[in-house]
Amino acid sequence: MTPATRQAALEPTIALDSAQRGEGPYIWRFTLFHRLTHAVVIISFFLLTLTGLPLRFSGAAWAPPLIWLFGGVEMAGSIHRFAALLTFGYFGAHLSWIAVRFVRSKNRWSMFWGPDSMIPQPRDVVDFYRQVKWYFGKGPRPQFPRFSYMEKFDYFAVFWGVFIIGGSGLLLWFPEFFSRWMPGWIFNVATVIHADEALLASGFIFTIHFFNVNLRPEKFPLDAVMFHGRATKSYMEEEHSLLLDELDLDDHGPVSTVPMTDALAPAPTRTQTLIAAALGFAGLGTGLLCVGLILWAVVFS
Amino acid sequence: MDEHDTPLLSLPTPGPFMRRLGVWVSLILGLGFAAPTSSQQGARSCDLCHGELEFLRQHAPDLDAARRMQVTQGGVEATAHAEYTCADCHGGFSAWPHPDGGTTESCVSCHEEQDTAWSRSIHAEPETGEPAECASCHTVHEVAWAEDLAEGPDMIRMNAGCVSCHQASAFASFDAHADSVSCAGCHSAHETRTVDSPDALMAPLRQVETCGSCHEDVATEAMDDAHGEALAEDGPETLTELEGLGHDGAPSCTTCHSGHGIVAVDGPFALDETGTCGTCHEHAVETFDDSYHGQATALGSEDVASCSDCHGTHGVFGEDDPRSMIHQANLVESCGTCHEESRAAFVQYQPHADHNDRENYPAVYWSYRAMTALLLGVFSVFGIHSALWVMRLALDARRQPVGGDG
Repeated sequence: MTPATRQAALEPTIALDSAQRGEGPYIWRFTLFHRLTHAVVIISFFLLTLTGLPLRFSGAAWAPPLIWLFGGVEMAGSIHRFAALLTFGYFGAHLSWIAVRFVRSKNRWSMFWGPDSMIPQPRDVVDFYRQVKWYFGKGPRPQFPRFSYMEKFDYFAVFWGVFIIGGSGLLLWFPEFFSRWMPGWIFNVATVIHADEALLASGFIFTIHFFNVNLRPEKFPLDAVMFHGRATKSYMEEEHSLLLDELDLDDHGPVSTVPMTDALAPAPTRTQTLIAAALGFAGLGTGLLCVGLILWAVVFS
Repeated sequence: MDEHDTPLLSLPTPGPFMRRLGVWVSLILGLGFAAPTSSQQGARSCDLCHGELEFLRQHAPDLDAARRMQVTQGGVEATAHAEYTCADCHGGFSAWPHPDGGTTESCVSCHEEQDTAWSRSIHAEPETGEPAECASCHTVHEVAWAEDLAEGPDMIRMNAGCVSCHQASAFASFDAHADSVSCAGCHSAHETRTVDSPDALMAPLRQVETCGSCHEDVATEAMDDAHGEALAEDGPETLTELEGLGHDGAPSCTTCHSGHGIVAVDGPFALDETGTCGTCHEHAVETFDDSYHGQATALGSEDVASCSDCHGTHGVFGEDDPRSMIHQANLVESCGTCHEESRAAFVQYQPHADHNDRENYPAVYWSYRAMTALLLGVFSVFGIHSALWVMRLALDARRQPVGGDG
């Protein structure tokens, strides 16, 4: 933690949104497309979780009232399938975006390899090792590039999840159709995988992802960078210092060769801040509620 | 007349003479208007006194006794005894004042068959309390027609009478038989026996016949299915004996449907099939609850398959029996009831897969273990990752006290 942010963290009027803490101009971090995609991810993920959890824990006391809120099993099932379509939709949109960027970008391979890539790099293994050393006081806190290894894990967790949960979900959605090529016991396996993988996904997002991006002490209680898209220089120094080193802030222009515009951003307005905080806390609250329901069901089962 | 506290004109309380005079005057006047036949004439003359509560009260020891004696021919004509006159049962009362030596017929003089049946019932020689005799259930004069006791208001009144002693055996308000079936319909009207009696109509092996008197088709079917055959094999003679067998015993009708809490099969019963069948088939219900069928059923879906949708209701057979819905040869058709494109590969689905049974469900067993390992692995790694992070920041904060210059 830099002295500046530490000082900021001690201020009684510290910003609620950790992306707005500290000093310096704002820097764009996520494009509108990224943020809209993430918003659709949130909506579809909550719909899937809230309609799926009661089925997974159908014996829990909260399951019947929750399913009642969604209009009964049949209606909840329809909502679940609708949210699945949303998921396939944003997944397809994201892949299309990658394809378009790949074709248009001058330095197209930087998307797949290098400091700006989402693809795990050898340095991510080293970063993880450094992070563990820092935990035990054996080294300084590691500096991260545009995306830390944790963010890459989260990103590919969605890929993995859409393939595994989406695939098994399609099997369970159209079992008669798939039985043309597959034996029926596949649907037993699909049930196990769908249920447990979904439990992993929701449990991971609502605890680990929430901790990494919102709840760890530096960021508590909220980081709304994914909603309004920008963060302060102090924030970038702390979270993505290697990227900041490459940014020429005096230039006030695009500084990166990557398929993303790194530029100075205006500070979020009061309205933008309020909307971002409202969305963030709504998501946090709903997610933690789901964790509570899961723990309840597991403890009392 | 004035409504003063004390009447303006008042008569002295009639003495014995005045009362007798009154009766004679009434009788003479009454006979003059009476209908021509002699028996009715007699009955009408009974009415003159037995219709007047005030008169009876003056002669009876108390008001209750007076009320018991207040019976008119008109009243009796509304009952099953309509065609009988007072004198048919009560001999030697024609003169008034009634001479000594009058006799009253007992019910048995006409209803011999019922009396014989009753004498064999628990009501004739109860283990505790007084016997329940004819009038205990039928009253003395307001006897209902046998046909009326089978349904309608008279039946409901009679059922209420049974419940006044047998409170614990009252129909539940939701019972499908409440208001439509008489107690006597299942327990016999006169030869009523207890759960300890092998001769009770509700004895396990007699239920098929008793319940089947209305539910003929299902009873016949149930008698021949796996449950029926097992019940015949167990051969419990009494309901008490059947209950003693617990979960090892085969079911009779009431084991699944209960006696006095019978739920209509097309509604709540279908939704709680797992509760009913699960009483004995615990493991089957446990594995079912892990399946989509079971989960949606638990959440109240009526569309999704529950026990009887695949196994039948009264034609339940083991999977090796060709008559069974779940016999290999019948599966495509059985599953096809809901899943239109059901086919041989489709019915390889295992509705009762047990993820802890490696021998029978290896694919489910191993995928469950792989998933559990994945979950434990991911949550352990990242749980520790997060915990150490907080710990490191806490240690750093202690080293650099709050308010320090950092």
